[in-house]
Amino acid sequence: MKIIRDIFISILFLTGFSVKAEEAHLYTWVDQDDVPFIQYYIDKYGAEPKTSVFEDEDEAFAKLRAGYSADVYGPCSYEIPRWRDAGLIQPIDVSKLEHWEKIPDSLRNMPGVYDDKGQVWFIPHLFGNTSVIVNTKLAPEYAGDNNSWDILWDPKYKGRIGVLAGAVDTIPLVAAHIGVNAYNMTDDEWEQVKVKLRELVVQARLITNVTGELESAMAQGEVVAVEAWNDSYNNLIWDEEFTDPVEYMQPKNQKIFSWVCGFALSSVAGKEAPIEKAYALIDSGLSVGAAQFLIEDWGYAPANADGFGVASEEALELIIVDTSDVDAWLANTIFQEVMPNLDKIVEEWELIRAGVD
Amino acid sequence: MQKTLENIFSTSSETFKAYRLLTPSILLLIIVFAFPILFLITYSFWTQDYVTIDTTLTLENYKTVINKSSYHILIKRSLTISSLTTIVTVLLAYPMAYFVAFVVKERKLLWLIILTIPFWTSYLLRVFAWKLILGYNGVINGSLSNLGIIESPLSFLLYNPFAVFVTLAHAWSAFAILPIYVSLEKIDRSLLEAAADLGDNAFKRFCRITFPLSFPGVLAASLIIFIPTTGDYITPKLVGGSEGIMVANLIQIMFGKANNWPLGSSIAVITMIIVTLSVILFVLISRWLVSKIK
Amino acid sequence: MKKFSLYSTGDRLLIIYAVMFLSFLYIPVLFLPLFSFSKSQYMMFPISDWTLERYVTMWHKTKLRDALFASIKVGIFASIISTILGILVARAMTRYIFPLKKPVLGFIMLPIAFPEIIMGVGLLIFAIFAGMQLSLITVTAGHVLICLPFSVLILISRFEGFDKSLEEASLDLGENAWQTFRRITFPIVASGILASVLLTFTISFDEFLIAFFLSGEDPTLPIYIYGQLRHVKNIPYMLALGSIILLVSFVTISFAEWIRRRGMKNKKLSGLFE
Repeated sequence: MKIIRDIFISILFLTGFSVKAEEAHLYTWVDQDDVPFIQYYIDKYGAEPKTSVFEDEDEAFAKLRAGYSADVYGPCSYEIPRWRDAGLIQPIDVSKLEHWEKIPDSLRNMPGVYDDKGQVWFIPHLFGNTSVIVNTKLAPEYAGDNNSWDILWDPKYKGRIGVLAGAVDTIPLVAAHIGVNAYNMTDDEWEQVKVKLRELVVQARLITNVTGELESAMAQGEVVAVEAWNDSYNNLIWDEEFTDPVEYMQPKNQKIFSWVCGFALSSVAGKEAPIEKAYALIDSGLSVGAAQFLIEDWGYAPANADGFGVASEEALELIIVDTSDVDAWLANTIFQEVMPNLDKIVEEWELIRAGVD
Repeated sequence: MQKTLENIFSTSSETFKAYRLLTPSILLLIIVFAFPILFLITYSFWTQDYVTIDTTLTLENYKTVINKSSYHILIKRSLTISSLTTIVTVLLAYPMAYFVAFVVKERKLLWLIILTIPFWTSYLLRVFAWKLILGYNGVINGSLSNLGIIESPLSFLLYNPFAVFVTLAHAWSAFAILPIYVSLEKIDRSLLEAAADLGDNAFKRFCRITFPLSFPGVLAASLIIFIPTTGDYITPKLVGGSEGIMVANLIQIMFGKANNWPLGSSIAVITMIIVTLSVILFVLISRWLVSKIK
Repeated sequence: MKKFSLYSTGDRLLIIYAVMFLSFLYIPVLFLPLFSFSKSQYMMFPISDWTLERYVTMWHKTKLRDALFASIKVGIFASIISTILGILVARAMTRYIFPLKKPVLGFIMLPIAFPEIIMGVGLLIFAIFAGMQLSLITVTAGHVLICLPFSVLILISRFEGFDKSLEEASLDLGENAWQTFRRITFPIVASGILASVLLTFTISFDEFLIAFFLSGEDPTLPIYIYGQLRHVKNIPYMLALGSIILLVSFVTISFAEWIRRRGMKNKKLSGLFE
């Protein structure tokens, strides 16, 4: 009975029948599974680690709570408290990491790395910024010293503004703009922020978590300014089809935001693959090769400061970080943290976004 | 009585044979459909407490949904967009189905195939095609500015409820044609000839015979469009902008970003109830209308 | 031209309408292949520079291939399982009279009346509760659920016209049930079975929302495309992919139609594609 045999084979095929040595599994942001980020691991074990990717951390969090798991996760620092509280991750033994000492102090001591008991839960991998990119040909009055987030609410540019949909980016930025600390705000302050958010939604042409959409809208002149991460700025500079001058805003009297993404160790790490392999995965991301790739291909700053020494001049020029003193530079920005009551805030922001609150 | 019971339980009875055939499907439906819906309903009576679920039964979520006008607006918006899509799509599809059923004399199947070919590519990409058309440098804006009709691109084309409506109407129109066509095809042509012999003109024949007899098809087409468009996620997400966000997006947000599965479940349950009620109401009203026409 | 004169004024209006309607259906979809040849990574019209690059390099994307195979696997399993179940249901419904017939049929058809988002989240909650890992298997289960009503609809309409006495005659002639099914029943309902497999495969292949909630680390093709649409640089590749899917469907349908035509002459096959 050929049919029965075929069905049987197909079932094996469907269930992913396989017998290979267990490699550590990295679950991270899409594209952060590129080869340079896992090369160190490949060199060490002669095999590729398993990788899978998420498009945003909320999706990842939902999936992990739904029973999905890997050995190492790639969230950003502000996610750590809730992942820890949900029992998804375990403390990390930094003595097992080859590159831990390469990370600048300011990053090693940032919120999210250590808990109250001195245990490490998060290893920084890269950092970037959140501010506003402006097309200074279309909006010359905001160039240079006149950089200001005011442009997001400027009636002149109504319908020509792009905004990040992520609550972790947009809400602290809007709050900071009216002098409110989103990581410690009263209900009254939150109401004030909400007023500004509603105005912003009316101003915005698009609100999206797809940074490529923001870049493409900038490149086509659809929008004049976008709230964005610094890699979008690099991408616009690198874009051969787009020649308008753009600036990544660093307004006077206004610190811009820094976010740090990195690695967390799964609470199930060590069960399927040896835990050493999980640590090797983290080390892969921290390697100098990965750091160089981050700077040159992504425009992000690596946590391993040695990367600045090997990256090309032109790539370094585009990095807005002052590489001569990373600690001092970071100290002049605001680290993104987790907002208390995040779920509630996210829900309200989504309703404001939908124009129904 | 004894006899009937015996009949039912004897292995040769029709009932036994029928249920033997039906058991796999019924089991599947219970496991993959009834259980999930029951779990969804149960979940809607629980509450989210940060990263844990409080399993005390409560009406808290329903109170939240009932008291918060934001949710009402989103649900109303979804119903408005999907009703409008349904009505327009069915109206557009009817003449087309009529054409294939009555004007086309041969190769009807070929016509039906031609009508469905555009729908054989990914739904996502069909929706995305409208972004190409309505976009800032898209087909409409590009053509208009090339012709010198506009100076700067029109921005009102994309990212609004109208874009959602147009996209949905396009994506679903072929699905409306098939059921209407089937019901038109079934109509006994001799009825129409008889009516013509009795002196009814074409319009009268249509009102008195064709339309009422094709009504089941219209009804089926309407439901086939109304139900999925109310719960559509992709179209509002890709072309809807802020004002085009619909209830499915809200449910997804609750299960994703906002991390409140119980509240998401209750919104889903309420949506389910509203869709069911709308469908029942719609069927009743249309039956009544048809009986009036007859 | 001679034929055309047979049409009345009303019919002519309908012909014009049909052409307009077909344009409305086709033109938006045809922009997908058109833009897939655009050199610019942005979707700008009119298109100034042309390239075939997307079609050449698309095949190097291993994740695209994986997703394509995942969707084909899920589609094959979902269509076969739902068609087998559909055959059983249609047979029960058309051959026997039994208590609760209508409610049972209603229950099986019920998933049609539910927005997919509801089933997606319901299945997600249930899968988690049952401790199932999200995978292509959970996606397949969800797809069988939404495909089954369509299989049942198609197959019932096929089985309704089926002449019971043929089967009885076969049994009388001493053939067993399996032989009867293979030699008598199957050939007669084959076209319905084929239609059911094709339709349910298409439904599964294109299904997004349930897979969105139920897929684990292996994305299906729609999930993959959705992810890629978020990366502006990758969008043109997705347009190329969509064009290829369109082309493959077109060729398949034309081939089926060709076989049907040939079958018209060769009576044996004529039932297959009607």
